[in-house]
Formats: sequence, C-alpha cells, structure tokens
Amino acid sequence: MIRTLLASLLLTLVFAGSAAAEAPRTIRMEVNGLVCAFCAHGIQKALEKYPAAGEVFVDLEDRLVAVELKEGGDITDADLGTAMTDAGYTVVSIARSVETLDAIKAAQGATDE
Amino acid sequence: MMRTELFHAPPGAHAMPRALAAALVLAGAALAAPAHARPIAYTGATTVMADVGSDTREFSVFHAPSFRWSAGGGWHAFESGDGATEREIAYVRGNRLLKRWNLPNAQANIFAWGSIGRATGNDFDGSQAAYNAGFQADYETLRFYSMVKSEWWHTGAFTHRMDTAQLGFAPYTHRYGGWATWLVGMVENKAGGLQGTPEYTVMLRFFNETTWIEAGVDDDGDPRLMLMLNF
Repeated sequence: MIRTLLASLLLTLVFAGSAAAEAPRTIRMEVNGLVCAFCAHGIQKALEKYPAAGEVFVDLEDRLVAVELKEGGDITDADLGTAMTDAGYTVVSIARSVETLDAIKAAQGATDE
Repeated sequence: MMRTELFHAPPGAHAMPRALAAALVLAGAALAAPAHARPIAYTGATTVMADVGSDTREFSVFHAPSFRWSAGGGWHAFESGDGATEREIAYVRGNRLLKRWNLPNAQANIFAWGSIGRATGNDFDGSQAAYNAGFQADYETLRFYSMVKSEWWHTGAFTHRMDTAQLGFAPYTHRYGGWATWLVGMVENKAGGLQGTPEYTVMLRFFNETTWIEAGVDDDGDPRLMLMLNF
C-alpha cells in the first residue's frame, strides 16, 4: 500500500514537473512585410494588448516577432493571426518555445541597453 | 517546440507579382514626390507631421483606426518657384490603403486619399472651396526605398498638381528600437502656376519606432525639413 502511494506520488511529481518544464515561455512568429521599425511599432502595440503578453521583441532582418508569455498564460494562434492581420502584416508561421525572451534576444544578437 | 505553419494574409495583402514589383521600383527611379512617409502609419496611430521647405509648408494630424484608413486634417501653403504666387489650403482628409503586398523581405503599398477644404491665395480674391485627390505607391526593403506620389488640388480659381518621387538607400540594416539612417533623393514637380521645373532635394532620414526626421537641401541650396511623430 505504502509502495503504491509512493509510486503514485512519484509519478505525479514527474508529470507535474514535466508539464511545468514544457510550458511555453515565448511565442515566435515569422512575419512577412517587416521592413521598418516605424511600422513594426504597430505590431508591438497590438500584441501588448493581450493580458498573457509580456515584452515583445522584433527582429526586422530575420522577420521575427517574439512574444514573452506571462506565467501560465498563452495566446491562441487564432488571436495571434487576428492581431497580426489587423496590424497589416502576414504571419507565415507560429511556434511556441520554452526559451526565454532574453535567450531569444541574445541569440539574435540583441541585448537590453 | 510546437510550430504551426500559417499564412494569414490581411485582406488586400497578396504576394506581389514580380513584374509589378519591378514596375514600382522603376517608377520610383524614374518619377518624383514630396518628403512624406506613408499616409497611414499603423493601426491605432495618431500622427503629427510638419513639412517645411523653401516653397512649401504643411502641418497635419491624422488618426488611423485601422491600417487600412486614416482621417485628419491639415494646412498646406505653396509658393511658385519665383515666389510670386502664394496659395494656402486648410483641409480635412481621408486616406485609404488600397493594396498591400507583404513579401518576405519587402513591402509594397498603394494608397489613395481625398480632401475638402478652403483655399486662399494672392492670385485670386476671397476664399474658394478646394478639393483634392491623390495616390501614393511605395516599395520598401530594409535597405532600399522607392515611392511615387501625385496629387491634385482643384478650386474655382486654380487647379494644380504635385508629383513626387523618392529613392532611398540605407547604409546599414537598422534594429527595431534603434535609429535607422537613410539617404534619400527626391524630385518634385508642380504644375498649375506654382512651378515649371522639377526640384531636386537630397535628404538624410532618421527614424525609430515613433519619430521620423528628414533634413536636406534642394538644388537651389534651400533647406528642407520634415518631422513626424506617432503616438
């Protein structure tokens, strides 16, 4: 009985830990039409309206828009597509990542000043 | 990593045929236009703009509820090349994005607008109702910019047209959050009693996500300055 309880507890902890580790921290979008900071500002403003959105990072050269997710939060693909369409841009792909936004920025060669 | 392939093209945004892209680039290279950025900045933007040159002064404010349209008003003063003719127009204007192509490393747009206002001038008495229509086509990458623009003003006392073309080159690819630097060449031609010969201007353009500054000099040695702020 005790052995069964311990095994159940262990499994619960393993799965809970696994789920937490897999929770996405950022959303990465490949976007067409990103040609100037002036215009991309509209994307940042559109995405920051979502309660789950934290900081937004834009890399014009790599056509990347990355959104930091607040803990436990997410934005659906449909909402992301709508936000980008309403901002006037074309989303090519959406990917969720466990990478932090800082890691993405570092990989893109951008750091906070 | 979860990944979803999407293609959310905004209504009016399509992959642009290469022939059209080439035509826009060539048009930008061949024609002329004033020192204006896009008439619609981005969804939700309020744009305040000032453009001052030797024979033109324009101040305007626009708000864009959508990236597809904006509305606002302004005041534009023109002088003929010899300074003899002066006209001023206060107007309200609607801008519309007719078509946008979002490409992997470029964007192209076609805008149109219409205005109504009141005009005064030293070559006619009193004030006249004024009507305006115009269009702008642009093609832009992170290092290359081309734009052609044409607009007409009509009143009971005069009709004049202004054509503008710009070509720009960025010496480096700017990062979002930093300042972009561009070298821009501009050709303007006015018709309808304002000016008969094209005016050439070379400008330096600086902008970040909210502020746009252009400063240059025309072929007469006169300064040209444009400032635009987005809120």
